[in-house]
Amino acid sequence: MKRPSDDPASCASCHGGIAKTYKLSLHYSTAGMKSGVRPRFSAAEAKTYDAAVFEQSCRSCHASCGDCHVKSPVVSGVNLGLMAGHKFVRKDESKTCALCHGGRVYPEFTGEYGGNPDVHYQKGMSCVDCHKGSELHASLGAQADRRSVPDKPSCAACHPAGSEKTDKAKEAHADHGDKVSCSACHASSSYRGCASCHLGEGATSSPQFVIGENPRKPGQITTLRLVPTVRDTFKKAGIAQGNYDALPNFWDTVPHNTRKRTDRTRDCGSCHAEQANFLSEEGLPSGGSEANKRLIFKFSY
Amino acid sequence: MKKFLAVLLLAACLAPFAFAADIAPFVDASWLEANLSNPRLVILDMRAPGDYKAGHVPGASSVLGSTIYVAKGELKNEVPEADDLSDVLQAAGVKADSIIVVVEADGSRIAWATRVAWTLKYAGLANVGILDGGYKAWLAAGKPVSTDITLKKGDYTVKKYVYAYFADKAYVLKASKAQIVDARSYDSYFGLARQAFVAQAGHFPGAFSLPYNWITTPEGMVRPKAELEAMAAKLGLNPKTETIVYCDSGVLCTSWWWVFSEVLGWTNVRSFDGSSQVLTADATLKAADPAVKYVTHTWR
Repeated sequence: MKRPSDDPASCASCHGGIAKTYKLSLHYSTAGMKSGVRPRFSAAEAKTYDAAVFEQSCRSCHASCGDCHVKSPVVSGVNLGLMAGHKFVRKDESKTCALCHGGRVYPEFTGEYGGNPDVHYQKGMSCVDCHKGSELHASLGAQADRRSVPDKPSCAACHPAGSEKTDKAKEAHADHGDKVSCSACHASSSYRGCASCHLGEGATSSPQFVIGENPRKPGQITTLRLVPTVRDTFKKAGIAQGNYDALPNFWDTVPHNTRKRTDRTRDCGSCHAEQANFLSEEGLPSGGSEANKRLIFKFSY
Repeated sequence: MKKFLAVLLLAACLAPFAFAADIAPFVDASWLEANLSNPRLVILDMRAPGDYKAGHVPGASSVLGSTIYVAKGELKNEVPEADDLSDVLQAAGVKADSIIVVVEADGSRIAWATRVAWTLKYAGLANVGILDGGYKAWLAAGKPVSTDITLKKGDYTVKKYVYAYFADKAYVLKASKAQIVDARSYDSYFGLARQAFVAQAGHFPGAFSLPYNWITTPEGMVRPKAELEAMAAKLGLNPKTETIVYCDSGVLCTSWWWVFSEVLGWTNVRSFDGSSQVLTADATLKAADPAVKYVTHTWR
């Protein structure tokens, strides 16, 4: 048997509860790869996508129980083998999470992408200190995405309003409130943005730092990440993406390079005078979605 | 009296390195073990947090190197802002009178250890040393290992930097009488290899070549002081002349700064933080700067 835990039922005899919910979790179902792009498709295109793209390509990235607890997952044909012989491990993030999330989040977290390491990594924390098992094993619907996870991390859970040590921080948090996400001020350096994904031909990536309107939370300014779906990404599969302009080319993101002090916390003028890193007409990708324009924050002064 | 002087002379000869402070610039595993109970001792373990958790010198604090040499925009290894560095040092238990030992993984990481040690000196701390051979040497010597997480609270606040240890581009371009030392490999010096973030291959005209990895033996231990001194002397470096060490991005150059300044006792040595990344490019770091034309395939 190649991947004994590919079917969580193999683990269910001892871990019935988790095995049951895991089968409907995002790591197992990869439903996010379906729901994230679906609004670009007509009903017919969605059917084609599910059969010809999602099941044939995206689904291959699902994580079995063993991929996180026995053997490092295989990524692009490469894996690190068994983590502790044939012993099961509760966690070993650098050999599990880091492989599938090694393009963006993990190297940003450790500073290996070229920026500053996340302050939580600096303090010795790792992935599951924030992303609890209940989040990773959560049972979700087939149309779910990672934002629908009920038990996802929240900065305020550990850093509630009012717990700030300085008056400056208290005032800054009170002034910006829900209008500005935590990451808009506390993401410290560039993170990876991917562009121009053509089916089977990969994407190109480059460091970016973009601030704009949150596409999923209108009225909030946050950090944005360029996602690689372009107009002809699914052309070879016969999908024209009739509703391509329904979604922007940026999603809200939390770069995992959080620092207490950044250019923005040190200097209000970074945003309020220079508007540094804010998305502008010039910063929009060529031939991109019309929806991108909604993400350009309009300063009222 | 003659006997007394002879003893003094013998002691001076046996001393491996100059003691400028309460700690030698390089200490071995036995010294560190003997000093573990010293309340002033602060051990900074610079390895990845996962390696630290798996085992470390008892009492060591985990510190990420990249919080002490930080990225600033496209610049790779810069001195942190004073308040950020103060936070890092305080969280590691550093006080003004601390005796600090920097521990890297092994001798191949000596330049990263010296980069940390140089930064601490630059930030005004007096008593800083490096574990010779790193954690590998500690294990090889059969010394005790702990998995306890050490949480100490220090109170050291960086108030000002010691600018006499530092050079920037403007300073280097004006320092016409200084002896410039290139701490990179021969391949980089001669222009056969170039880091992507360095705009020009080769070296600063007139620079002496002293690769950083000459400081250690193939086993990763620091070479004897006399051998290090001979390397500099035979190259023609004058200990009394102002010396500026550079490399690609400000890490490797601190290795020879540490040797010149802390081991050999030279008093006028500067490390060029921005190094070739800044020196070879324009202000935006995008294009080669015609103000500095690196030379290739030749000595000096």
